[in-house]
Amino acid sequence: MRWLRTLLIALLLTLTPALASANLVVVVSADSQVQSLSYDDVVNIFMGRLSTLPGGEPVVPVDYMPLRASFYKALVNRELADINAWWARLVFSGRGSPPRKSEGFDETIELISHNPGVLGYLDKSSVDPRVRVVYEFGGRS
Amino acid sequence: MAHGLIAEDHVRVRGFATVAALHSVGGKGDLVRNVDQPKGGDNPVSVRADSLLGLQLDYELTDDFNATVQGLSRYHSSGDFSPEVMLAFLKYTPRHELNIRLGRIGWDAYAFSETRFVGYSYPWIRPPVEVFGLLQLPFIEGADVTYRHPVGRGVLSATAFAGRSGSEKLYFTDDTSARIERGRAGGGHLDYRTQDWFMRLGYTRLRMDPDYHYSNPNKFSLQELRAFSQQGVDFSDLYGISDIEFVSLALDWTPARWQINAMVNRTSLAGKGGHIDSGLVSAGYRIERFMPYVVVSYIDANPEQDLSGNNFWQRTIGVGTRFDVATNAALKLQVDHVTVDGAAPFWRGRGDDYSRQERVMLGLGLDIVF
Repeated sequence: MRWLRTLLIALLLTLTPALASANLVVVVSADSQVQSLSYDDVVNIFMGRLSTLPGGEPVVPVDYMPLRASFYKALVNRELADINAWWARLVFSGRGSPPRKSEGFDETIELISHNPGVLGYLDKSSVDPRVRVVYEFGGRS
Repeated sequence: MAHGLIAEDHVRVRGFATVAALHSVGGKGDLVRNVDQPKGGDNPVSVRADSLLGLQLDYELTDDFNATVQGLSRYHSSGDFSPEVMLAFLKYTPRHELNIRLGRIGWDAYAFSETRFVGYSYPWIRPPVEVFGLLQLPFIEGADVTYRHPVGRGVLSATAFAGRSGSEKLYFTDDTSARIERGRAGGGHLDYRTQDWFMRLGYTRLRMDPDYHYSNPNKFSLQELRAFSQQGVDFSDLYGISDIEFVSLALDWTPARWQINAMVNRTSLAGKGGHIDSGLVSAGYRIERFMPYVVVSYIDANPEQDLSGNNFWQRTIGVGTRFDVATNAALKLQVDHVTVDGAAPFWRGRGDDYSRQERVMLGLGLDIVF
């Protein structure tokens, strides 16, 4: 039954990104007018293709560094090396800057909750009334 | 704008560097990365062709204005690694979907061409020379305008640019070089990008008046030189590159772990009827920190009325891997099999032997961004 155990481990490893992404949510300030975003909106904003929300309001994406690898794995199924290479193309052509970085949870949620134009991501379990979930992985639309 | 967020990063200094060694198996000719390099990589191992260091300063003046200056040290036309300013522009963003850059900007002739010196940004050890090695201008001094708009699931952007080159010196063979003073470039491109797809259609017209220098005039017979003189032919006409149109079509497909790039370009020599075709196909597959890849690139130059007989053809099949040793550093190993026929301008030390030849090139490099 060794093959069965190997198969189960392989399946578990395959499912890991999906399980991890199920715990991540994209959030804005509770004061923001934005109620929800589509998957394409989130991709276009975090990959630097758009700097406005669908309604035309300016948006500033923020990378919460402890969850950055999991977030981009969930969002575009890419390793951080690929994300960094993409940003190197934009930065060193002078065409764009990557999302601002935020290291600590308190700093991140303060930043988001006090700035209606900021878009960030958090672990679902850490969401509190100061922020609103606008996109949840697993319910891709 | 977000209070407490923007204040932290008004000035940013960033950089990129490549240290790469090149070895030609059998030592038959020295490869250059670009035609502005007078010498190729010496044997047995050379770091000259691909090694470089770039530094960039970005200054956010206001919400609408940014300034960028980038300096680059690489082996180039002066025959050394003397630094040059590659970017120096002011960027104005009057609306979020529109920006205007004024100053010294990259020549965005092809996809990847603006960042062809930033090794960390692409899988290969160097951008295929058949496609990027003939780009005459490292930058232009002028302006570009970019407009972006969401269309469907992606974003459509349109860019137009115009400007002049600085003073550039190009080398085509061991004997032939050209100096370009104030060439004029204008063009644009349409891009459409979704999560998995990228498409680009680009056009550039480049007008220049190269001043050719030929260090071995004995190569032409007296009759040929007399005939050229009687016909009012100068070397600009001989090589037919005083008025050039570039048309480029690029298609990238990047689903999940795959990175697939394809590009075809046609460079038309206006008034001559000839053209140069080039292209590449590259496929890479991400496996954790590794990205093994295969890249095939070619160039086929066929100026129909080229009196010098300077037709050439070259194809490279490269196999390699990128190994991301850290989140800002990638080690690359690449083996190229090159077939060259004619006086392809990417080689030095070939003498007069322009017969069909095959070479194997080994490259090992480290790219970092910081």
